[in-house]
Amino acid sequence: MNDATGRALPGLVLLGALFASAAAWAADVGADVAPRITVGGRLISTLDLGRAYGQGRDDEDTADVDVADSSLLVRFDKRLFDQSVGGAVLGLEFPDPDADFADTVYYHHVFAFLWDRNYRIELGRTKLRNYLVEFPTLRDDDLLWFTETTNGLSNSNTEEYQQFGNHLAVDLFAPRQYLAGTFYLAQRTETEDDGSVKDGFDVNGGGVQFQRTVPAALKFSGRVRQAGVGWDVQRVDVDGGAWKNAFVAGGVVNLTLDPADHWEAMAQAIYDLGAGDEGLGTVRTRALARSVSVVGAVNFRKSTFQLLRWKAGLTGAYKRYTQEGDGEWSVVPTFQYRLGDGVAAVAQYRYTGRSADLVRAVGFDREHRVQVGLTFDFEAGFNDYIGERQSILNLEHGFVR
Amino acid sequence: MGDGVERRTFLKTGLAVAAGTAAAELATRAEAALPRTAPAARVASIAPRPLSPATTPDPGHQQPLPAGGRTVERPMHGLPEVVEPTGAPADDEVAYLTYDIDLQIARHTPVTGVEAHMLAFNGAVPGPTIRVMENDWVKVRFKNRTELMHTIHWHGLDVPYTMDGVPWVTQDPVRPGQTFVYRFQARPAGTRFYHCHFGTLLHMQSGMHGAFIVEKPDDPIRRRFPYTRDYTLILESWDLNFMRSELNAMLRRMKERMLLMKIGKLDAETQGVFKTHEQFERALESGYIPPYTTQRVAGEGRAGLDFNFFGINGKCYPDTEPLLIRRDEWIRIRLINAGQLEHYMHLHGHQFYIVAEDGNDLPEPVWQNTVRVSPGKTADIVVYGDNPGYWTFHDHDTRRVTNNGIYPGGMLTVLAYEDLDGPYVPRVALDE
Repeated sequence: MNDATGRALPGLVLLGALFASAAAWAADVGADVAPRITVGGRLISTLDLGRAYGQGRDDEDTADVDVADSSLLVRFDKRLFDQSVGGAVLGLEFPDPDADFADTVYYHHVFAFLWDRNYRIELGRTKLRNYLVEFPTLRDDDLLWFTETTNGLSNSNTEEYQQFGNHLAVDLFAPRQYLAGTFYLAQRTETEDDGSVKDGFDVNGGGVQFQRTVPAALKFSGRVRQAGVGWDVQRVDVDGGAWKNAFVAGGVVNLTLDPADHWEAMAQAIYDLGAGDEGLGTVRTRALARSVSVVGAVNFRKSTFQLLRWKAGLTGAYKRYTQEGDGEWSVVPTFQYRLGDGVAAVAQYRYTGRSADLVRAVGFDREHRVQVGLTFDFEAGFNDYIGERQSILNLEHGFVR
Repeated sequence: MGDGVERRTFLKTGLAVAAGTAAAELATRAEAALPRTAPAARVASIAPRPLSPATTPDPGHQQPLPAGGRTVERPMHGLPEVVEPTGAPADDEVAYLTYDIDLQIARHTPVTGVEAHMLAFNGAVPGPTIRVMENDWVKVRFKNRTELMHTIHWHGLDVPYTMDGVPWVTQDPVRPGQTFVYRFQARPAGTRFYHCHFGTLLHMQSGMHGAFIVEKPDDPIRRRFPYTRDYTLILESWDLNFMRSELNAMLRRMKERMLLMKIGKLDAETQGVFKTHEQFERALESGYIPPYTTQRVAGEGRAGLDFNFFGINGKCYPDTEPLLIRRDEWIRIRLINAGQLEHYMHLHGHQFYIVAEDGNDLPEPVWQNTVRVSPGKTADIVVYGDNPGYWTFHDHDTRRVTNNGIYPGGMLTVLAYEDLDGPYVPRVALDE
């Protein structure tokens, strides 16, 4: 069994178990209430051209067609007997080319949830709460090592192990104030030194977040759209077991309150106290190193007739490994021109620079990457009899179940 | 040939006349067979929340009605607070009866256990009933306290065109926080109604409708059928899921438009309103995309309406109010279809006379037990209490006698004899 098959197997087993169990559960499921079904997805396909310069080694040029991070999601919701909502999400994603299972898909969302006006509970595999702010790069993981608290339990190149994991997350809301408090227990993917997933591992982390987040429908209601802080802790395999603590703070502001020519800015800082001092030689030791990362971006959105037509963002990121005194930085201008609703032509350039030990570990001190391509995003809803917790009506005119 | 044509015409006409005469005679005989009572001195009007004329000048609603949610109390960006169009006599020229109506978003319960956000005149669905005498001068001060735009159209009334309430045709829409003053003479007499004509598909079904009854001093219908109670029933059809998603979408777009207006960027294309068709064509040439093309679909992607609740005066069975009657009593029922579907209102155990359609008296009453009420139409019927019991009165397209598909529900009420001590009394049935 190769690595790719091995990584895909847990997802397949889980899905298989779901379908197998469906027959056993059928007797309890009536056909009287069809769920709300929401299907969403994104196909992002880019031609990537890269050049990397190394200290004392040949330059390396790369060219490939990249469909990584393309995904398909299906969400099911139903009203419960007490009028709250329960449901499930199934999602699959195409991983990066350097993932351990690059030729197959990764089930990045397999979770059940409950929500009502003041809470949401998620249980299963999904996006970990190891960040606060989303930045305007083409792909979520373009600046992964700057934007997320990294996984001190994985030594794999597979970025999905940094982003996704099993968790139990409880969000408590004060809806009218747009306040949310999050408490989570996480089971991040643990790997052996060779990057293969361990046969078994337990809940190995947790954390809390507090933030004020203005819903998208009300994004122009004030300058500050998002502000929050968080603490993430991981139980890592250092010196027989140690705690790796990280603190995150960040937010988003409207620079202009202009829906036609909209400027926004966002920033986030992660202070990772790390665990142990094992240098920067591997993926895991870099994740375990004490570090400070700061990311900032400005984004411009041009709309005509209340339709977004194009947007351009500039993201800058810096990370310093404080014990080693090394650092890396990146600058990413991004451009998207919408050809239609959900269809865009995209272009992005990314420059990454590194210093000293980090160069020795990664192999290059400067990397240039140009990406041009197309994206297709969609969301379609069926049998929508539920509505959304954060709709304008529910927030400003009283909550209606 | 001429003889042949004349003969065929005569035959057709003769048959038609004979058939008409027979029907009229049948109606007359049936009517004559019913006991007659002397007209009562007073008629009890039973309609959604009768609205009394205001006695104090309050054109801007300085003392707004209580609201449960976000409201806009003043127009923004320098727009006039009160709009009083020309086209009707001034206040000192005629004696106006003044009515105050505001609009807010309210939570409404069409049936116990189901709640929805609706656009509520004076805080409730349907709007209050205005009842005046024919040729009264009426002034309605309408304040829009929502973040959406609206008008009021006086359906079936012959008002000056500047008071007809059609946005972009007879007036600019009433902006958030604005008060628009409608003035007109109430004529002709009959069962009329009012409704919003802005975003009519959504706004009208979302609650923006109410009865407007214009009475005659000596109503020939009442002389002939001396009714003592006068019921008004507004028939409604709701797609609560469409209403929820589209109201949210409209609120979001309007919030952005108000910001664009504030910074001077609200243009014709963004509003989708052009001064001329030529201007519209020029906009198309320069890249404007009309909203009815592929850029947007109403209801946030929903393809069409799927009505799932049906109401009478804002309520679905079993929350509908019963129609009360006594033995040997005439009652009048005014049916107003403020929805988008056709309804076939059938009364059990009785025949009734259809006495008016579209608010206008019929030349001769029609004796039936089912009356068709199309969207926008009104129908007046009179019923005589000659068969004591409990009798359902409902749309006989029974898809509309459901709540979310479950029968019974929806557009159903009961004609109940007050003086009955019968062996069986109605239960509250929810699931058959």
